[in-house]
Amino acid sequence: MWRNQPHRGEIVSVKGTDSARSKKVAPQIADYSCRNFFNRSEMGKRITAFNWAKTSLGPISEWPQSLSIIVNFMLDSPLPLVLLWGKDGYMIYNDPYADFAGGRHPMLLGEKVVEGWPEVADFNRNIMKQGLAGKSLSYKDQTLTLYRNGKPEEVSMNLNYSPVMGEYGKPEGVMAIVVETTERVVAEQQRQHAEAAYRDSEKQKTVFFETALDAILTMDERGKLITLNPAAVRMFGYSREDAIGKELASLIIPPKYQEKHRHGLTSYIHTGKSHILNQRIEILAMRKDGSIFPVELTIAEVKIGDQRLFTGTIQDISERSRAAEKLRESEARFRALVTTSADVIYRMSPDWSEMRQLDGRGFLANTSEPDRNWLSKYIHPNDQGSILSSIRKAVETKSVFKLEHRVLQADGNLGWTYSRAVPILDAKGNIIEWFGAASDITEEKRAQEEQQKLIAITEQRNALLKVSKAKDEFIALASHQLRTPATTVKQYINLLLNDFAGPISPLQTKYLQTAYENNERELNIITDLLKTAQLDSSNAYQLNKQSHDIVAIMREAIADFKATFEQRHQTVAFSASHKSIGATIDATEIKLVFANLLENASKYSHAGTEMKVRVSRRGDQVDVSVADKGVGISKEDQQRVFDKFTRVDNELSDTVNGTGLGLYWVKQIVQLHNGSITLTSTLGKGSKFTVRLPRE
Amino acid sequence: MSKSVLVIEDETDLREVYKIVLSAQGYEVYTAKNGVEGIKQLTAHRPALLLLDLFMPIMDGKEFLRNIDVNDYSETTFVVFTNLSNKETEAEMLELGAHKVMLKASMTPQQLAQFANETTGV
Repeated sequence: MWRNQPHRGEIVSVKGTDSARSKKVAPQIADYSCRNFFNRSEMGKRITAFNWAKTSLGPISEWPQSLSIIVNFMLDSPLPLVLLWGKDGYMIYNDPYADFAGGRHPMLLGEKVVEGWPEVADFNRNIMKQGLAGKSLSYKDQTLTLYRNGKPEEVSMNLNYSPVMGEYGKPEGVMAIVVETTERVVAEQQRQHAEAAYRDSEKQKTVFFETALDAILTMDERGKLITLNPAAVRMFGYSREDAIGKELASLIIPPKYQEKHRHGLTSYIHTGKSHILNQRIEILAMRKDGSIFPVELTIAEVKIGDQRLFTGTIQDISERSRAAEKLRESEARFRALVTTSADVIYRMSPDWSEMRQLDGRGFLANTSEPDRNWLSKYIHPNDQGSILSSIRKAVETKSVFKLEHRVLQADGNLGWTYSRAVPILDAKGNIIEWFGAASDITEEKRAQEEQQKLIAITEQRNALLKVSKAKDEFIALASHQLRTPATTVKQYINLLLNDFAGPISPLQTKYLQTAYENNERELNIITDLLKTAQLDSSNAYQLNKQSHDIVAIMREAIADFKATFEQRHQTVAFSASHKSIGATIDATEIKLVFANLLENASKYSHAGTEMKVRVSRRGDQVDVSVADKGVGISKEDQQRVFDKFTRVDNELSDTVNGTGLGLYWVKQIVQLHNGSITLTSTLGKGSKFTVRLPRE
Repeated sequence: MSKSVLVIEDETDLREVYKIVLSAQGYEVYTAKNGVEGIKQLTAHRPALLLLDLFMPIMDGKEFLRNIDVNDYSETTFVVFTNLSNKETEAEMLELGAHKVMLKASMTPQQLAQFANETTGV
């Protein structure tokens, strides 16, 4: 089980039995997840042979995969690494650490760290405490007194401690990188002494020779040292007095290579052939104290008369190597940390043209053979460009590759990863390959996308509401502006009609009345338009719903039209299933519905006819029907009578005024009440409108 | 002493017609063409009835109501008299202290006079 996220995993909560553990083995990577450490190294054999059953780690066959991976990783590392596993910090380490441990090796293997290094027990107790709490610690040139070989020894070390995550995402161990710096510290001290000596020196020759950062040494054809500059004094630790006249080879060349050097010189003197003259070469040099360090060397031949001299310019490149080592160190830390936590581990060729291996752990399809089509296989087409440019940048600068991008998952779905990769460099700083890890961030991305969608929808809705509000405001203002002059006309005609300007003749009265009535029509149209516009934006239309008696409202509506009906000699037969039928409605609006139906019934019926109105309760609904014996509506026209501005042509339409909005309102208002309206009609026989409203 | 009415209305013709009609009923009619003038007239005359238009320059009817406390004028009936008809406006004006909101377009001069009489108890 790799992931810490519970939403994908099959088994998460089991922390107990070993049998449960052995079942949840994720797809394996060839190298790191196996539990056979045998053929990896000397320490691999020892770890395999060790009787772990006597420790709390239990037999290797039952080790959690994260532990196997980290051990495999250690065994591959050139750095001295020791893993302190579990709360007791059982020690598992690699060959370089075995060298470091000196006489303590191999007793340290499988030993508790506090007991393995009793002289620094307190130091290590603190390391375990901090590490298991998830903290990384780092000490530069830390000096501790160790008894590695039976005697006290001041050991200077660069120490790096990182917590190592276990199966459940909690630190279960501490990985230590132990780089001994004792030699370097000594060399540094010597350099400082040499520098002090140099400052005291009055024998300064040429400025270049004396102050050059590179060591410059000259020898004769017999290989004897003739001159050396202060930088050489600093670099090798010999004083001039010590060195001049001695054989160069025995002074600064490691014993292993001394014979080769002597042979090369003799050979050149006799044959004139050399592989190294006037070339920049990297070799190992030796200091007075016997320590070996890498240098870059250029040798030039100088002839003075008969004498043949050779000048070597030497640059200490151990800093350069150290930088590479630092990078390897950080890479090692990176590997150690990501290997246990990432969802995907991959390796790439130096230029990324070839994927060497990918362990997809169920998220991406695995690749164990070199794959040159990885880009199209794993990467979403739209993200390939950005990936290639990020790769280019990382390759050019030999820096970490980092990118969030879409991937084609093993299950065929589209997912997201956060991918990062470090270049693995050789001693010369060339990229050997890239080691990468990617986390499955699909869920996070999806959540992000959802959130963005929600924001977009909300913004859209707000924009629409704003437009709708602007429209409502415009309609309100427009109706106000249209009403003002018409209102003024109304008031003044009225003044005239009421003799405010003196008595008027009957004909003047008739004309003024016609003007007044038409002005009233205009005011009514404005009101109708406003009402229609408000109903159109029905989401902004607020109903004032309260409990009312539908029977009473219909009675009032009929009463309001009493004069009209009488004028047309029409009668209304009203009946109700109950004395009163309560419903939660907007009374003003529903009365408008009834009024419109009654008005239409009257308008489109001839004088002297009868209308039937019935209100009946049907469970939690109420039906209101208005039937007439009028002109009726044809089948085709029945489809559109509820549309805006519809006026149906019939034998009475010439005598009927209207804007064609009444039934549109009726339908809108009924729908706002979650009700329905139906129409049955026969041309020449009459129409029946039935409104059904929910009572609650 | 006759009762007084204050008409706050920016439309000159309307201001005039209301003055004619209400004066004929025996009212002392004061007029103002915006809210600022209206406040001056209100404090000076403390009318029995105040007709307030909404859309006016300088200070509109809404601002007018915000700038006074109707409780300071217990003898005055505040009527918003406007051609802007919607439920929101009506609710807002009543909230601001108006006693009634009426649609100008729906009132004839006689109806206005009748309303004034009923309101002021003449």
